[in-house]
Amino acid sequence: MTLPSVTTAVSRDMAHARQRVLSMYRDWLRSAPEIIKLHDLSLTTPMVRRRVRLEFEKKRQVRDLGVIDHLLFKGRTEYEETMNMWKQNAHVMQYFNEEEGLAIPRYQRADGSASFMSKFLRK
Amino acid sequence: MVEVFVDGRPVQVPEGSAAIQACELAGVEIPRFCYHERLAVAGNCRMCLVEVERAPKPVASCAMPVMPGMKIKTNTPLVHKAREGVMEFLLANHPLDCPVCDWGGECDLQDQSMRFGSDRSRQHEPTGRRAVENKNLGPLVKTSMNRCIQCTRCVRFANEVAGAEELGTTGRGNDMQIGTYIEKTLATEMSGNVIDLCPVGALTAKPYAFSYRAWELKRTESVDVMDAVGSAIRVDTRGTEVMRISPRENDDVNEEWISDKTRFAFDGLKRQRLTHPLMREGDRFVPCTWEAALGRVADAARAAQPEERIAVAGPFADAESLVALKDLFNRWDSEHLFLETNAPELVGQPAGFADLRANYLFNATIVGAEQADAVLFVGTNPRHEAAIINTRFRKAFLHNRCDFAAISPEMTLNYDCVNLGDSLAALTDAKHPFFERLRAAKHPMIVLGSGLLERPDAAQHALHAAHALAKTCTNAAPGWTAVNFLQRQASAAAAFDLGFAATTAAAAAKRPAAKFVYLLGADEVAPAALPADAFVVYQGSHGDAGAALADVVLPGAAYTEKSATYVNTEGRVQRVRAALTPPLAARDDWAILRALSEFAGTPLPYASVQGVRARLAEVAPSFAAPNVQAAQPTALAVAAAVAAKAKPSKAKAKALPAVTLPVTDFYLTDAISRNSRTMAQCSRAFTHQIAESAHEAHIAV
Repeated sequence: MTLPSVTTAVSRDMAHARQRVLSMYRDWLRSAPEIIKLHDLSLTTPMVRRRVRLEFEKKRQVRDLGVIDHLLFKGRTEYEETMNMWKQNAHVMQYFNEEEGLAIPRYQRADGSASFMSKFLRK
Repeated sequence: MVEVFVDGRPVQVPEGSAAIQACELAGVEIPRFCYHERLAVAGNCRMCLVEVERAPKPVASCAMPVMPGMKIKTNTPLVHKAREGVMEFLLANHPLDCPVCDWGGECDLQDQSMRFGSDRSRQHEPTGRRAVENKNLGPLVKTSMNRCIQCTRCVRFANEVAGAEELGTTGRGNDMQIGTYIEKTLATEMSGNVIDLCPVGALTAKPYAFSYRAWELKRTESVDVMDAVGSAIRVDTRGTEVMRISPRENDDVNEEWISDKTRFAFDGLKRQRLTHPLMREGDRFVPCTWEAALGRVADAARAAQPEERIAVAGPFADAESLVALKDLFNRWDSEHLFLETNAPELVGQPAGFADLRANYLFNATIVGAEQADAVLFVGTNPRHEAAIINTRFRKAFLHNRCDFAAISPEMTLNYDCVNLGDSLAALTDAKHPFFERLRAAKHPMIVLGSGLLERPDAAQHALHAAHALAKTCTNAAPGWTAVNFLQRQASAAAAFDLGFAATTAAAAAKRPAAKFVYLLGADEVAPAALPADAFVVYQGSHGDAGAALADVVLPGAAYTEKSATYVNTEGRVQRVRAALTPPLAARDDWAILRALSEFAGTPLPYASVQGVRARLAEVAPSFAAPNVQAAQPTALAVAAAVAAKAKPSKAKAKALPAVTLPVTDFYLTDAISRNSRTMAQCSRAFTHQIAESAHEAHIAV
């Protein structure tokens, strides 16, 4: 069953934006087992959920309403592409380089962004 | 200043300038073929014809001096008709081979015939065009003399700038030909510039003939590192390959010329490249990952005592990697940092040498060298070590009647130079009549060569004797510094600025045998200089002599693949820009050292190139302002004070060995040029004078 597209919305205020973000976060968490099944990933549900959490944490500091709306839109697009199988396995696995042993966890920063060393060794 | 009117607009021009310069100042572009700002005026192409009020005929603006109140008209029917006529005459004998001509797309004749020529031909004869035999000017310049329009720019360049007086013209009128008369190669290290000067495709590049079209290339403005001059260059790339290197204008350094090594050595960037980290296993190298290589290097460094760790920098090391290497070694409590020399063992600098910028820089500046009126070379051949600076000396010779003398083995320069023998005693004595001329000169120069650094005692002696001699030059202009040091390696000035090569000879002699040796692109290190049980790391771009000695090889970027800082011999800080990315697993040089520091457990405090540059500016303030040549009058005063104390003795000078020249073959001096096919051909043809076989000449044409 195809996941329907949703109309792009504009957040009224921060409270509204927060509600929308949380709603999307829950969607992602809820779909974690489904994503693994659909894409036949050799990962566990907590691994996927941890990754989703890291992606949200990366943008935690954003306070600009317009930027949040834009990120929500991008997140939703990503969600649709994942759930509708518009992505192939490799696209999904791009988020899991670390689990694949491609990145060096020792050099990963707390927020998941690449440090000098992880970039140097991976490139 | 003289006021003239160009198309009714008044302009102020210096007295004695040509009408074409007045037009240029007024923003009117005059088409030209033979006129060139940096060469003598010939006035033989007639393309720059303009109308001057009250002159009976159109006049050649390049050969017409301005006169007060002169009224120049550049946009009248008469001028248009004259240009069209000249164009028609030029094209009457020019072959229609633009589609197979290497100059197509960049050709002045092509462009100007589109803009100023007639739109139809009156030539109906299928035959009868002038035919001229091609000349063989050696492995660099390809000729297609049918295309020549006899502008004589190449002849004037060869005679004035390059000093290769064999190129000239024979015959006259329709029979005029450019060539050497008796077949001869164009034996000058500046010959490639005639390719840029040629306004048509008569002279093109032989090594990369037919390999690109001008409009396919991506252009990156950069700086050359093949010598310590730091010429401004443009690196043209297509895909992942450098296709050609041409000069950029920089009046302070290279005007618009570059040497043949700068221009043609780039094919060495495509051979013998290091693309993956390598580890020695027995007598072969095995590719490995960066983790494995860096881990092994860090372990070996840890195993050695602080005093047993040494580093040697090669000619292409950039300031970023030099400062990173110095910081890393200092964290490891080692100060044994050397600069590559031709000496059979690693030697330090004379005491106090690296303390003053004035000691190791070309203080008179490159532009200043033009003003010189008496020059003494000590252990240097500027023609081989800094070909661009040599063109300035030639200018001084032509325009100031500058006298030259050399304390060196016999060498051939392209101006008159008296040889004073190869013993430093000649410098201490200062008895030769030339020294009278030097003492009386307004702009005297004593140029010490980088080859002296192979023997710290000789360098010390030469430096002190030079300062003592400079003190007797009482006639020198105020503010003029007579003592100059000419570096030949692009890395040298930066290494001294950063305190990298500050190890004194005494300290170097006292150090224990090395256990851990880090070669930063150093290839001239004699195997005998390294103990057999030392762990050797080579970081660099080419698998050359240095890599062969190594236990671990770390692939670095070449100068076309990194954004880095270099300091030229006059102390000018310049940035090289990356035109390509490093091949495969190769990395930026400073980043390799930064990664190594992490593996060794002594991380350096910067993780970006901006961070390294901030550190550079912290260590040496001159790095804060790129592209500025900072003269340092206070340092000069100190240098003079230091020299006043020392007393060079004649007996000591006699005991020193004879002065040698560090460069014996201009074309093969470093890892890049040694791996270049073109440079090997040049070495054969020019240095060793072996004529090309007829077969080779044929396939090259």
